[in-house]
Amino acid sequence: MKFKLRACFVVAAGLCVGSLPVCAHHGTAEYDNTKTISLQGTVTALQYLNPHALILFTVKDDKGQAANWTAELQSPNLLSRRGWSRSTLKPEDQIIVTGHPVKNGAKAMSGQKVVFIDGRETPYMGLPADSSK
Amino acid sequence: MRSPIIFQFCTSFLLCRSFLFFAGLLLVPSVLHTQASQPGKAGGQPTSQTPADFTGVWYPSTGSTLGAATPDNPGQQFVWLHPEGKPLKGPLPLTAWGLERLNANRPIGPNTTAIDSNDPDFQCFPSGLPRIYLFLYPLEIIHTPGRVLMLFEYGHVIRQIFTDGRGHMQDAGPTWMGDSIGHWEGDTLVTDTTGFNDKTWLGYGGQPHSDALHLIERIHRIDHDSLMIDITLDDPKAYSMPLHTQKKYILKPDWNIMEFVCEDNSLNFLEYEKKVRIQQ
Repeated sequence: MKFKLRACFVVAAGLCVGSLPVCAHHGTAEYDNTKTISLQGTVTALQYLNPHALILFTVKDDKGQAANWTAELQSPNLLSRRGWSRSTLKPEDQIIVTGHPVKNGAKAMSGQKVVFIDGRETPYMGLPADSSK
Repeated sequence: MRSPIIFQFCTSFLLCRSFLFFAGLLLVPSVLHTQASQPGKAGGQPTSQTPADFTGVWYPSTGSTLGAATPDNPGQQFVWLHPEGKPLKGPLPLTAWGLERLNANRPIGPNTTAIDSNDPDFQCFPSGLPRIYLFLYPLEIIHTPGRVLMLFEYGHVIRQIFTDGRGHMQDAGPTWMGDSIGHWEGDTLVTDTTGFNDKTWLGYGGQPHSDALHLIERIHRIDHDSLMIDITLDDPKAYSMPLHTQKKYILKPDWNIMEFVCEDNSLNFLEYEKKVRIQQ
């Protein structure tokens, strides 16, 4: 397998990645916004569909056990206006996803930032820059 | 089982709402053709038919002239005032009927995720007025003789405001977006909407309204790039006094509205919701 776990760390509140309204459609109750995690894994699929895009990716732990994770993003409409498309992430891409984990311990998180392991970044996922005018 | 029910809702509304939306588009093909071929041409000059022209794509401001926005919930709740504009003290002035409905609603909260909420929005029902203004998606306004059209990206909902002098439909509704008529007072479009059902909420908090909802909106430009919608809600069945709020929109001259089908990822997303639910 090409992927391996490089980083899985949690930082305290206050060091979060500037929470985006990722779940504008349905709130953020399921996420623990006091914690931020970064996970490295391999993309299985990017479901670029409304109401929310989902990244399906696989993460290996220290023992080499693979686990399926899901990261929830904004809607494709909001992402597209920031430069995302359905091909921004492709199967087998190696990525690091940073976001807030869910409260119930499931392997799921909000996706606040996504970078490739070679350093390339994906577009910012927030609202339009002038939206608070 | 909740999932088949939600799926049935989703499927039926996908078909129904898509039909309504595109049937609406068919009514104004020439106007839409003009819009599609000139995506950067925002309005601003009054047409020969109307005192003002709001043509263009507008994005809801996440700031708020009434202080509603917070970092965690930008622009997604209304701040309701007395109709004279004075701040309300305490909770919303619900009637006994309104309070009963509020208590029956299960909004999202610290331990309630979408799958355990009965928020109609999470079942992909139309958001209704005025709640649809709270979603962070643009709307396009199109002027056509005798009507002003609002094409909401969120949910792909079309709203027709008849400005040809007609009155309300007799026994209108119940409908999700109501029956809207409008007239001009100077460069302000004053809309009057009735004929609602009582199925939508006023916000994520589960604030109810009844089928007696009567909505008056005053839509006007505060500058070339900013549109203000002053909203007065009169619903004597649910609230003991009229309420006032407002919503600001920002002109996006380079934007087009996009497709948004809430049900598109419903099955996958439902599985996701089951995975992350807090209540077990």
